[in-house]
Amino acid sequence: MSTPVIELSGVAKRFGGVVAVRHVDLALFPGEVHALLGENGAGKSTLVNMLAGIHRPDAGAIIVDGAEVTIPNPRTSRALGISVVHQHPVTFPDLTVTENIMLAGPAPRRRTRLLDWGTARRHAREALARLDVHLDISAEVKHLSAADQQLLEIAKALDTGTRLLVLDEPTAALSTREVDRLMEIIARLKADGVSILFVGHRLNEVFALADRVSVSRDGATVVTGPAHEFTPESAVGHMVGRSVETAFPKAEVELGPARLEVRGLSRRGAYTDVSFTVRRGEILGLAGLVGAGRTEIARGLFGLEPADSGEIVLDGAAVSIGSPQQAMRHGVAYVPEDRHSEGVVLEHSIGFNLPLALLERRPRLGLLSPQADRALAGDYIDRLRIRTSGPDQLLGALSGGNQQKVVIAKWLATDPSVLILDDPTKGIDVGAKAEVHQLISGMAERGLTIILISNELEELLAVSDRVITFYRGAQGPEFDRRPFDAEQVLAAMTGQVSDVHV
Amino acid sequence: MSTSDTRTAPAPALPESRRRIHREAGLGVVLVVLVALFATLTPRFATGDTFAQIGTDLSIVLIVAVGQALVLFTRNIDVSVGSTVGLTAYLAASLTAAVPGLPLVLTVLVACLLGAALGAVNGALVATLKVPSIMVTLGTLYIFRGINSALAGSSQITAQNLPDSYSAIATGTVLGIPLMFLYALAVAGLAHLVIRHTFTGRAMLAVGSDPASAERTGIASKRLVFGAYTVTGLLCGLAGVLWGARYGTVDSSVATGFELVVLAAVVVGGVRITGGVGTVGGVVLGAAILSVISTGLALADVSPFWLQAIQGLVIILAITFDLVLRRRLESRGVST
Repeated sequence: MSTPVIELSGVAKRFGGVVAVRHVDLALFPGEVHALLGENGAGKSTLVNMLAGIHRPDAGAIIVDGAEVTIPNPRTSRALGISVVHQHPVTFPDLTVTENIMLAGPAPRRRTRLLDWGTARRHAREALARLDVHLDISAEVKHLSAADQQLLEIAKALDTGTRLLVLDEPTAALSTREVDRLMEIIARLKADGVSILFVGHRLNEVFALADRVSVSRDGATVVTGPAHEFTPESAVGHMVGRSVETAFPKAEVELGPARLEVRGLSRRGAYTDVSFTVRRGEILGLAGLVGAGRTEIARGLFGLEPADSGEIVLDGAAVSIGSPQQAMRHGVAYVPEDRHSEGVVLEHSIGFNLPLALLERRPRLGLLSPQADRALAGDYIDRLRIRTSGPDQLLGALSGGNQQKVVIAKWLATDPSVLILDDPTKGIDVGAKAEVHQLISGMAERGLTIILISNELEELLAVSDRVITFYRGAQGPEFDRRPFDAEQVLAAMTGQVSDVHV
Repeated sequence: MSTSDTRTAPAPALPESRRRIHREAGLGVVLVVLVALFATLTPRFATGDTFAQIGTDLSIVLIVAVGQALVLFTRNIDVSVGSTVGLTAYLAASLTAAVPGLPLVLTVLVACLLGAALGAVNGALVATLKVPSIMVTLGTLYIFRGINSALAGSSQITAQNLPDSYSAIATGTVLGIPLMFLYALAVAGLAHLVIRHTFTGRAMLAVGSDPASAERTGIASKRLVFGAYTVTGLLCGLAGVLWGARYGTVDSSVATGFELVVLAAVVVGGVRITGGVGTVGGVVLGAAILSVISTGLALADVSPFWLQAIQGLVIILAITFDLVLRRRLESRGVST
């Protein structure tokens, strides 16, 4: 093999007393896709930030073209040919697409040092065209969807001087179609001799792409080798240091009577004529691409954006749900997609967060009782096996998986009979995922009616009793026999079949 | 799954042809409506003299408001501007009184440098201490005012102590347009150029829009914040000289409470208090709207006791009107 584009040798980084990266060796060669796997907390993001010039290593060396370099800031990193797509988009919501692309690189200037807007707009159009995405370049970024923001992020990173492209879990917010496009682009860049470091934990993507795989655990690379020497199971084994199931096997549950029935539910611009029935103890999966209307249906059922027409029937009686308060009174709970902005307050403790959804029915003499809150928190910490130092720990200090458990616990505390989960394992570890699946399965066993939305088809098919597909707001084929045929479900949710005989 | 199908599928939402209007359009409408309203209420309003008066009145506010806008863009605030204007006004006037032969250009230069130094103190504290800027500048508000009081005591510099040329800076006109207004427009024009057409200007908005992203993009946030405060100080220095020149009397209480007038102009002008959003054009309109309201109400014989309350009410109405107009347009797919 030729000489590496970039080599990390014995790199280490600590923050205060916490060792984020203990010892990482990594060589990235031209024209290779190198996958870096690891659980949250394995030091992946710190590593990415060192390449991006955001953190500087305390020990070890970063070697570019055989010479040791220091990367004091992100601009130096770019100048060295390193482009980083961070896990969370690094965007300026109030500025336009053009401006966001312009601010990422050397800005085009006229001889007067004033900005050359014409060239800036051309650059922006070219950057988007390279990725084959269509965005209004003069739109403010806050008006773009999460997926478009992620695409913008990738477009920003792809300029002609890129020698190493670092993708930190780039597909989290993307739909299948966009992931496919990204894969094509990666293949093209690879052919051009660009080195690609793909950081992630969606294993099927990784194995479709990677030439080599490195696994990091507790801040150190534990194994590096050609991709074909790994299986998903062995990779996960290295990540967690033991062998685990990637998905918890679903328990067989005796289904009860119909609990929730939806008839002809429509909301303009979101979904039309949606009808289904869910029984007690049943897990109904809603499959579809991002933007297929699944989240909107969930929000409709929870009264956040009530449907324009149609009927919601609970236990045989038609109800009207015009606000979350009404939904909660009817026993409907909704765990939103974005736990950071809609689910919980990270700056507060578990004991503060857990009873948040209860506020309406609980006050005694109008006063809250901190003791009761802590007891409630303690109870759920045990039941859901939330790993924490106790009810007083701040939520922000927990791992993603444990934060998600707190969000679910918050809604379980309202004692719902219908629980809607919107992408409940987004951005959490493989190990924690299996635990959330187990939790969902256990809730169904106790008779809860569950509606599950997930952008990971694999997860949806593993956990659900029944799957309904949606394509651009229209209800598509339904699959009610396990095990599901992933190919058929995928075809239905990408609108390539109007009717499937199952 | 065939890829050709997914390729031909139209991408959802392709708003390249979206209609656009300027963010300032709503404010422009508000200004025109107010002028028309006052013109019908009193014949004394729609005269050249009144407009010249309004132009002069808004100048000092606008000069400082432009600086304040820069600071707000970066998600910071400067509540010490009133004290900075006061201190520089006193120092500039004392200098002129003490050294009668001093060329005016030098006086202005010294005042600007003094102001810039005071602004730099704010900037350095905010950028390095990571203390919220409102606390830092509340502190310097009292410190600068305190220094002013200590130096001035109960003394007063009046027009008699100052050469005629000093007041000429403020009272002169060119083609009937007050000089003061021209200074303010020049300042605003320059600021517009920097904000709209330089990397530095766009980067300031970027810092305020998302500080963490700015850091990850390698934008020199601290330098920009420091710069915004220093420029604000400099503009306060200029405003200080103009204050002395315009009103002829300078004591230790000059421009007390002025920071609120400036903030009102900036906020009415559509600059977001939490950073990242705003234009210099909006600030110009904001300052003009405030000035039209106060002059118009005074001419319309509103009782001086009720003047402030009504002024506040009109400001709220004006902002609400602008926001409602903008939201309506946005809901119809017009981006602003």
